[in-house]
Amino acid sequence: MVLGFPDTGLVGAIAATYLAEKTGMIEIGFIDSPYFPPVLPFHKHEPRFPVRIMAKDNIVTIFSEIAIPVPLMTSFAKKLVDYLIERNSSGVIMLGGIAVPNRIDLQKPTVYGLGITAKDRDFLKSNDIKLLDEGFLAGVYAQIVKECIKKKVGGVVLLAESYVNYPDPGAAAAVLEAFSKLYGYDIDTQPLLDQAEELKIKLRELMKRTMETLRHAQKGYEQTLPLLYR
Amino acid sequence: MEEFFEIYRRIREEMRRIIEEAEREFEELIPYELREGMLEPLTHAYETPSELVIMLDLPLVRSKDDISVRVDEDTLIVEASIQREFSFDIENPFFRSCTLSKYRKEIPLPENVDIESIRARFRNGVLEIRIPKRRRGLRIEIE
Repeated sequence: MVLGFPDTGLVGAIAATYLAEKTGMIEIGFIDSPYFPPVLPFHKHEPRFPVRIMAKDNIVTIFSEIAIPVPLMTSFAKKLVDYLIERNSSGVIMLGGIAVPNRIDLQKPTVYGLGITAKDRDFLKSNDIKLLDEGFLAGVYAQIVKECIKKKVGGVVLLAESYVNYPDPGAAAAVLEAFSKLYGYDIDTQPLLDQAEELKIKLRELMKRTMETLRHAQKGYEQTLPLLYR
Repeated sequence: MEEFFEIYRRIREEMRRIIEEAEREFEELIPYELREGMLEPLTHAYETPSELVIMLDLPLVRSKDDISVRVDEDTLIVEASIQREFSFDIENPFFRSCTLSKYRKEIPLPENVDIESIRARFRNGVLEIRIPKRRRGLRIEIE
């Protein structure tokens, strides 16, 4: 199961929607909550739920067009991981971005990985994905990883070096390339890179709203070293 | 009959006035700059011990020649033009799309910066402006 929620540089949301489109996934469901903002996107005249579940063959993608409100993150993560267990999912793959100050100088952002179990970490290492060594993960993925640990569900978080508060389709392309390499998909990211500038303008309002949420999601922790004496 | 037409004319005028007023109110929901095809770029600023760094996202701007950066009094003004027009939809009943042709951003500068030494570079659609802080201070002898 692949997850892509609005976060740093909207990397996860851009990557997951692109993945769903390119692999021809169809909508199989949605997630709703009375605590979501009262908004309803519509695409090509059709009203849609902001958090949608898409699927094709043995892969399910969940993405959101709204930032998950901070007070809801814990219960949202619990429900999501329960759903994952219910569907006998083999694991969860979270796509996102990690803010770096020198993004302006990077033609190709590096993708870092966080493996939930030792097996996941070995899997990432054996595929040359650099593991995040010391630090914090903040936001909705942090809550999902916690739930996965509690319920013994495996998975990985793939984070591409990204701008923090500009939509970053280049980072989304990098994370999709890492995903393709790890799971044997062939996803052409060139169209995403070709549309990058238009996407940046179209997604600027979602980026602004996401930043408002991130300000309360302790994202600053991701630039901090954890207190661990050893 | 004449009286009827007079009443009809007044009702029509009143309806037109109400519709125009509603349209104006809806238009006011869209920022003036956007209505003029001007967009405020997404901006990110941070400080280092020696500099203030401001980064502006300028998608669709082709080269540094299309960007102007100037300081007016204590305000940094960035303007950039887009060589091809770009339209995008806005969900407003009376103003459905906007054609973007220019970016503009005004940033008030703090007092302790050296505006003579401002440097800027444009790379991958992002403008980075580095503003050195003016060093003011004196060494204190420890007794």
